[in-house]
Amino acid sequence: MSTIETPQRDELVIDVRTKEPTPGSAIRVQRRSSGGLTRGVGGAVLWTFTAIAALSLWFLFHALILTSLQEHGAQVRLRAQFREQVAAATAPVGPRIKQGSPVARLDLGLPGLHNVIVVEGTSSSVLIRGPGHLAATPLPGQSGVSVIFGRSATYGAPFRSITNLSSGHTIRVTTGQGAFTYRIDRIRRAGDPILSLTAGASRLTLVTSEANGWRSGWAPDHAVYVDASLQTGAAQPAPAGIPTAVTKRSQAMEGDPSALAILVFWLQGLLLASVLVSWAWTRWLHGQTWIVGLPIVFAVLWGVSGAVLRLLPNLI
Amino acid sequence: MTSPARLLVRRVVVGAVLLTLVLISTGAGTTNVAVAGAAVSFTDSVTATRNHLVNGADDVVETRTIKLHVDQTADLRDRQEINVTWSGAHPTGGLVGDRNSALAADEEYPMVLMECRGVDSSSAPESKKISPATCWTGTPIERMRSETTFSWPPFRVDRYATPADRQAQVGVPSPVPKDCEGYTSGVQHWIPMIGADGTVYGGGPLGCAGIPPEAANSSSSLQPSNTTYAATDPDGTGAAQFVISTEESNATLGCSAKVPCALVAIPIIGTSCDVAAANEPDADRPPSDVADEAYKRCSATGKYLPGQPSSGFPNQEDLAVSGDLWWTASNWRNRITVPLKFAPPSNICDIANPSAPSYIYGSEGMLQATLQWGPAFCLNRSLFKFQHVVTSEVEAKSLLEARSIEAAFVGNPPDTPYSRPVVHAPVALTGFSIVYKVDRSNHTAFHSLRLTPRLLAKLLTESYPSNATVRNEYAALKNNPVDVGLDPEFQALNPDVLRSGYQREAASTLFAMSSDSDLMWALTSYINEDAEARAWLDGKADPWGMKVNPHYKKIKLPLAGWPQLDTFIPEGLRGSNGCYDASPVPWLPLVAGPVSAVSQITLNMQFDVANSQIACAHGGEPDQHFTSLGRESPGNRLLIAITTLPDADRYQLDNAALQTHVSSSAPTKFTDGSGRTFVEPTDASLRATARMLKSDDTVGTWPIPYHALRATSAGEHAYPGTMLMSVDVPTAGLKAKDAKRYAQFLRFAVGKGQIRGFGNGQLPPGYLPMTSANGLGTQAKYTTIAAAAVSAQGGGIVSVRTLKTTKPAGSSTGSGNIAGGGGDGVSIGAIPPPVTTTTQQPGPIGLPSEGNTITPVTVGKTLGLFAGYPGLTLPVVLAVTVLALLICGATLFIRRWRASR
Repeated sequence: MSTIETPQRDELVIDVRTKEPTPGSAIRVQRRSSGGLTRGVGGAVLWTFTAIAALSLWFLFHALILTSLQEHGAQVRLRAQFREQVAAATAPVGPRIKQGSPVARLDLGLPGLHNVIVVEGTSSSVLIRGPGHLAATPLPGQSGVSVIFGRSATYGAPFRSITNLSSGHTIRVTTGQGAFTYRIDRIRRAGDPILSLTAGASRLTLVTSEANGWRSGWAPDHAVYVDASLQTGAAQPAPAGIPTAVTKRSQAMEGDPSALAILVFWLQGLLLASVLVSWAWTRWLHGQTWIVGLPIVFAVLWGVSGAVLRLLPNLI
Repeated sequence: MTSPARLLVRRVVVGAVLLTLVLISTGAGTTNVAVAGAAVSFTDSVTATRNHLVNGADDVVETRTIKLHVDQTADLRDRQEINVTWSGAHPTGGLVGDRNSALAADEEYPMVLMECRGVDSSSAPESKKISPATCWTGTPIERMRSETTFSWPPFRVDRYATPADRQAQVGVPSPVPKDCEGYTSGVQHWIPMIGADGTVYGGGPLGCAGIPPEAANSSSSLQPSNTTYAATDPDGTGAAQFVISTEESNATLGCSAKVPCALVAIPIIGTSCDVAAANEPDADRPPSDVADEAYKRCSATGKYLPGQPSSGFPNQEDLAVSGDLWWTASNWRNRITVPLKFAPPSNICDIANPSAPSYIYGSEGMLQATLQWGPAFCLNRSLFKFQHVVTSEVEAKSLLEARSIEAAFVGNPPDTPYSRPVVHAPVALTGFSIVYKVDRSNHTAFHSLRLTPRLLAKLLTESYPSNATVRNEYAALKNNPVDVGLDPEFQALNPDVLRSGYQREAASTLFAMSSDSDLMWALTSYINEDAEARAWLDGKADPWGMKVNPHYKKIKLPLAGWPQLDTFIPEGLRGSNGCYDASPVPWLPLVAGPVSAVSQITLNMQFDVANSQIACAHGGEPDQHFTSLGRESPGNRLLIAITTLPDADRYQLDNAALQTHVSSSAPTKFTDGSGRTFVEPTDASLRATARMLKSDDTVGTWPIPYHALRATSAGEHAYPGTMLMSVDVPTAGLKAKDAKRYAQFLRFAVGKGQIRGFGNGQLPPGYLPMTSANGLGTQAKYTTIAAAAVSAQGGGIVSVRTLKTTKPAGSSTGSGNIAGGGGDGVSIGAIPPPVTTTTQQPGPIGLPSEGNTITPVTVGKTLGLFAGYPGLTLPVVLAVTVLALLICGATLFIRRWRASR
């Protein structure tokens, strides 16, 4: 009778004497562990740096790919919400609008950017959902300068290619007050002059970020502005009571420091999840641990990297 | 050069030569910006004798010829200080620190300086004559004498006194006022004070018969009276600064342009005695048994040695030679009367011209100039009335942007450009000055203070603990010297300054403004350029181990408003200070005691007031509150403050010499100033800075080149505190009448207004005239062109580089309003100025496409906004990934290689 032994880690012993499993016996195959790979100092180094590489890869993957999914999801919901509000004439027209609520639909005339919903608010947390409208400016279509921030690398990067637009290109905006067409005048960078605005006219400024050289497209470093003036559609009077200042986190190239508290929460969650999964690895079957642990860890990691991204400047 | 320019140059040269001669002859060591022009000075001399009448014969005991000189006697303004110097007088003994206090009257042989109303002419009517009754003293004690122990004091046996004055009771009102009952026994001699309106204030002990409202019973008020008991040095010479008061600060004395007044200098020589009193009635003749004693007292020559300080105890001096008897005939007859002429009062425009003024808000630095320019405008029927409302420059710029005002005096243009076209026209070159009241270890005044930017940074950043208790408790400051007088850096540069005896708290701060100011901006720009100061502010200890207060570490400069950041509350001080115990607040901001107006700083420094708000008034009572430390006593002062250069000149405050260059051979742990250059604000040093100004179109002015001042050789003798004051006026949106007025003002300011002098419309000291000789010809020309743009109101902007006006094409409607906008990205943290709805017309309007096309003008420049370090997150993470993978791969490879061996 073969002895029943509990299989050890990395060990599956085949009893060469019987060559077939006998009832009640465990099949053990001795798998030669690869020369003590995971033992000793080298093992510790390997584990540590594998973990670091995995986390970093995860962060990059999340920042550049998964956040797009998140933003698209948010945009789908916002589109439905905005369509309903415009139909019922309850779309907000200012002056003080709740952060996160949809205020306008942008058609940038670029593939994939025909129906971008602009939300109110410009902090890093709000710009996760799509482009944001700076609260201290009038809405598009109202007289004055309306400013919209948009990300250019993460979270769908809706404004990634507006710097390629030439002057004369049209942008269509729909708000609760109607449809307006803007024509791009110029793209402004540091040192370029800001021109005055005639009384009663309306200007739309899109703000995003860009970088030159090896960082372009994925690690932008400076802000760039696109000015457009109203071409068709009468400029609506801007309502009185528009706030004159916004908090620091809503200003350009600022992170959202409130995400720090959330980051701490998620990191605690990560620690807990790591501990639980490690414990489960020793107690349960490996497959079981993978099935239960992987989604939990992914979710917590998503939370952590999401919080980190919210601490970064809002135009990235 | 054209002839008006030649004339101007000639006047300036002549004035400068005159002044040089005056300065040399007086030997005064003042350090003010050189005055050129119409300073009317006065010189006179008198031969004073002390001549006793003994047994019917003259006994001349002393003869002296005293020569007096006053540097300015015309165009005088209230609280202005003038310099009085003399020679040939009897040296003073029993010196008292505070020469303006009533105690100083007890000095022996002082030179008494007083301001008196009237003319000194025997032909003048009685009511207009100068007499002791029209001379101002701050307390009634200085104009009365009462003797209850000995009936024949020196003033009763004065040879030159009238018989009426030698009586036992002189000046006691009859009937005796109720408050004076009990004070009228013995010998009483009271001099009344006759007010300008004719009111007679009897005076008397404790002022029982009435004292003027500006007087007090004791000399403890924060603003002392101007009666000065000045000291003559042992060599017979002396110098003093005399504060002028007009009816604005002393209505009882009532001096003004219409009421003649004079400075009366009485060199005390001592009573000339006549004990025999042959011409006196019996009641006024000393009986034979006391005659000898009376003569002994009357002919006394003084107990103190020349230059000896007072013992501090009363009645130690010889009354016969003390300043108490300035009013006796023996002394009064030796007076030198200096007639004074006053400038129009500062409120002349309100009185003389009832029309509505045009307001210009802004800088304190222009106040002295507008005080002199204002009357030239409002008293001229063909011109207009303008009023300078003094506010901080930062506030004035905001008001101009908000369209609440139409013109502003500013130092720098605003950070965010105005939303409408505005010219920034230079009108005066002046600067800030670090003024001080510091005494030497031998208690005489110190006049050559030298400061480095690091010392200024130390004083500003609340890095001196201010007293031993705070030093023991506050860990961050425990290695710092208690105050600046104990700082080795300060002692190395100013070796003679006293190290104890002054208020240590007041010597641990630079008295400055609490409001935003371009003066602060200029000062912090200067500090920021110095490598030693910047390194110290960033946390590096100075060579003697002093470190910056951690709350101010790495503070970003320049700043317009200096913040009070320290939060430490020393528990050890609660027991000794009742107010502090009741409301413990951060201590060091109380010590810093900033005030909102620069003029308050000037006032405090003029009268040696230490403004640290740490004294407890009414301690223990329900209304106890913090109050300022009050006046420091002359001889024991260490006060440093920042104010404007014109203020410093008007009130005769000394200007510190600021470090400009440090040569490479200068040691870092220095023991003297060798290898370092220090520059005071003088005409030459201001001119050197003016010559370094370069136009900059991006900011629209000639910015002070702080970096070039520090780094180039041209800046070595240039004063780093220079500021170019300008007027910001819009060139669009003003009414035509206002626009013409401001244009007129601008043209005047750089034309006639740059002629130095004290008269109406002239440029007072403290400003460098804007002429080509001074390197400011381009700036003056710019202002003239800007005046034309203001007058035209066409929205034109004048370039500082080309001096060309760029006007918008096409016509502009009606008021020509070009609303500003598009200010996004102007600075990190700023948001675009929203276009106010009030300027919108109701209803939808289309873009003005055909018809009035207004070419847009540049209203600003896009500033760069950078993601900085957070923007590098993704590249860093990618690098970490690659690195980690490489390490893993390497480890695996090493393992396999080892295993395969």
